[in-house]
Amino acid sequence: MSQTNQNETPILEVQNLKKYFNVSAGTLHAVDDVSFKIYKGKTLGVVGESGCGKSTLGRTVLHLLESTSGKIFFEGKDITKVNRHELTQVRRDMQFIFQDPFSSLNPRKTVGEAIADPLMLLKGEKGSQLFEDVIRMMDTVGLARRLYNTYPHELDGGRRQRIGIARAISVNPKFIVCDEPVSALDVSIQAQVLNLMLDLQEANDLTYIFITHDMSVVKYISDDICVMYLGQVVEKCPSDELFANPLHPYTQALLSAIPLLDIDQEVKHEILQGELTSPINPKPGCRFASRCKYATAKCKEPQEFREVSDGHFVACCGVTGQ
Amino acid sequence: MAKDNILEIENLYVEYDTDDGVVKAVNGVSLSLERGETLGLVGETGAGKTTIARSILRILPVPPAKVTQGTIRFEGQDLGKISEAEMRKLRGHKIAMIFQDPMSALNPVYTVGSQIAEGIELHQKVSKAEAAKRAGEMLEMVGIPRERYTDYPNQFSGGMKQRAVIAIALACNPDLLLADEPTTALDVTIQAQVLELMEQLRDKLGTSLIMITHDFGIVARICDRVAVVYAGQVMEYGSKKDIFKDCRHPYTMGLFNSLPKLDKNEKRLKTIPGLMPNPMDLPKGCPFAPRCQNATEECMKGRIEPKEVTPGHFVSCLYIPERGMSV
Amino acid sequence: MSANTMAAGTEALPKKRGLWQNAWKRLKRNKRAMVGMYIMLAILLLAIFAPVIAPYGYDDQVLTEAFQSPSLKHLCGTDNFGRDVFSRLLYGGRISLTLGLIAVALSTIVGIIVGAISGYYGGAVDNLIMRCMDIMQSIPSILLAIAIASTLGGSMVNCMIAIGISSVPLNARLMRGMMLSVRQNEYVEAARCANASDLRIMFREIIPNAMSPMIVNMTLGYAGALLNAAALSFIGLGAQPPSPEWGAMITAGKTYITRYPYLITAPGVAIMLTVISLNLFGDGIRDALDPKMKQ
Repeated sequence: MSQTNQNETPILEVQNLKKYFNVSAGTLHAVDDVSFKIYKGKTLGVVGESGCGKSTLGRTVLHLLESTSGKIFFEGKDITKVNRHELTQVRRDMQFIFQDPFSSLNPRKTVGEAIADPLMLLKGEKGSQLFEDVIRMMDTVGLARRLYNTYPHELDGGRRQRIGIARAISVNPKFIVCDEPVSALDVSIQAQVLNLMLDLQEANDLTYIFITHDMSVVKYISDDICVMYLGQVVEKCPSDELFANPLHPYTQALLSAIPLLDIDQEVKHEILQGELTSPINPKPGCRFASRCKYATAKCKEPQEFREVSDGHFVACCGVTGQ
Repeated sequence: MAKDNILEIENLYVEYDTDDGVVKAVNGVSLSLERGETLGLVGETGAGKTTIARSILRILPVPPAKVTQGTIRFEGQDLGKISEAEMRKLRGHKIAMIFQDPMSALNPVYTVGSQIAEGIELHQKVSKAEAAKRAGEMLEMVGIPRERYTDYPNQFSGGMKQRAVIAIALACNPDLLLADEPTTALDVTIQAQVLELMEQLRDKLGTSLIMITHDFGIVARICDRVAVVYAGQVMEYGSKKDIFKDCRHPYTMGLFNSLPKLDKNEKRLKTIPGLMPNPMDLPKGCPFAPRCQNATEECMKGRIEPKEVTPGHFVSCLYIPERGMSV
Repeated sequence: MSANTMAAGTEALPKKRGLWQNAWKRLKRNKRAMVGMYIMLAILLLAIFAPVIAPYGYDDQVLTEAFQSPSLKHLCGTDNFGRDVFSRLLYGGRISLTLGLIAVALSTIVGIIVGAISGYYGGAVDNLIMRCMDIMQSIPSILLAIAIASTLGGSMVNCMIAIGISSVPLNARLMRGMMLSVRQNEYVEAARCANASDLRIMFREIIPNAMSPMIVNMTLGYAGALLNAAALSFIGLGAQPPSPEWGAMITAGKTYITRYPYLITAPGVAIMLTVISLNLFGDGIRDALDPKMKQ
């Protein structure tokens, strides 16, 4: 798919994005030198374990956090630094769906009020126009109209997440960052919400960044996948390629750690030892090296994120190109 | 069942009395567990999995919770009839439980080692020094160096905390271990470590295990028998092979279809329409009927008793298909 | 979508039930809170209708009938000027209750604004405001009130201001704490995504969710304000004679404490009843205001 898009401008391009936090123990490199492109109507999955910086990445792209350095281009326009007025435009084009359907809704606002907020504040709608659009949004995401005046705590997780989705798509954005939108939901509800998100993407030609820790969900929904480890992208390639031919040792370990549904398959778990540490004042070189069974002296040097085959990028000196 | 069953639950009903009404959490659950076996209790939020585990240990909050009917027999002994003092002897010693959240299961003001030793000292009537020695061994068994005995829980990472919790649960070598979503709070790679550890220890110590989870992947990995629970009732119950290769209940099939699969490319997932029924106002018949495609009026008439479709494979449905679904 | 279907669909929308309505429903189930509320209501009604209920004026002196013990004619007896204590209590309630209300309103409003700014912006602003609050709090609140009241001069209005200001730090600190915890919620970030301004986030997202402890604190603070006002009046910095403010009545009665104890017992009991009923009511409100509470 990547070839067909070579000539097109990506809807979002991120170059060498960094987000550091100053903590008492030093500088936490939450997002460290991340670059990627997304083309219109596609979904980029971002996977990694807790603390790998995937949420921070999504928030930094959307200006919910200020980036430390790097560039963000949206439709070819540099939006790295924006003023209040430009931010309104950015918010109209780029929206966010939050992970926790229990804390991402104000408990003192009814469903109707929650969905009305972005319409009111970003599009200046009011009165009957606003009301009609809220009702239309509720229909779109499959929320019964009788719920208009209920409060979030009276609803289950799936319905609450639909409110979050309705808020995000109400202003007709072109691009949405979805931060673990289904991980708090039950299996049967999760499937409903995933299908809804795909339907909306098809109908409105939306572009998603889909952040998750669930490999099967990311495979289902993404066109391309970035695997993150301690603030860095270690591998990026089309979704099918990642599952068929994972190259980075961390990706391999991650994939083999998923408990599969196939009960006949001979269990050949490659158990990864040790745990993720937090990336405070990291040393140059591969951050995975301490847990990697293939680690060599070369891993102490900074790793180049290079294209080893068409559209398949990996940051590992042990991987040889074809 | 003449086999050596360590645990038998018969027709268990549990209710919670709230201001808004009576929540029917468990509605006529019957299960049995053979010694040394692992039973998976799978279901969605609110299916009553945790309530079942808590009623085995008799740690339900009473009130509002109330066991209204049914018996639980552990090694032939009716747990509903013994005194609280006798129950306390069983808890931690013969039956142990691992909770979902390792962060809150450890007391932050005591060292990890002393928390393991405490149970040993209490139940095995050994000296403090002996208990400490055994606690150190337990730590090593779960893969934590003995030097960390004097560390406090906040010095441990999430995976290590869960290992410590497992060490506490297994310290007295219980006959039955109840694990309530022990890996849900953990990352996949850490989950794999913890599952591997639990599997090894179970095989080494011969512990019977009840694994409560919502993840069929974990069931496939670790369980011998599986009970699929929905709205406080067992929908389907059988060996792992029965459930994964020959599942017959529409709910089980619906769950499998809802899961995105790694080895298939699906355009859209097949979903189960609708939501879990309100536990305060359960349908009279099959609780799944309102969401079920095959449901008829017959399904709404009354409780549907499980039918044995093949030996040991029970399905609670009126319209059981001739051939089951395989994942 | 046609206008017809829209109208048909929206007709059936259930009415919006305010969170207050739900809170009221929960409050009604709380017996102790309801007892508190009824006592409070009774006290309020007695004070409001004082001119109707009171058998005598609060300032009617009948010197020949001084120091009469409670009887049917004088329910709570008479004082050194032969004034009917019961009537004075009723009129005094108007003053004391208003005083408490204004003092509490003042301290709560100032506290919310100061605390919200401090908690929302954090950093240097927060530091500056909070250190000022520390300084104010390091002086016992009654001493602070005395200091303020004596600077401004003894009068009812100054007494309210003094009491109000002296309890600002408590409210500001509480608000700041709530602000810090509520702003962690994702819905604040979600509001930012919807382009909400700082002010809007503060007033529409955070403060409504931080209000329940403030409201509880108001009912409890009311009791405190009443006591402080009584104390100020007691040392002569609050209501001035012949005003029948409850604290002032106790002050006046203290001279005769050994021989005519009913002179201070009556206003004392009035203050006590008000404080207890408010505390009961406040506790009930705290439990009722949590929107997530289902039981």
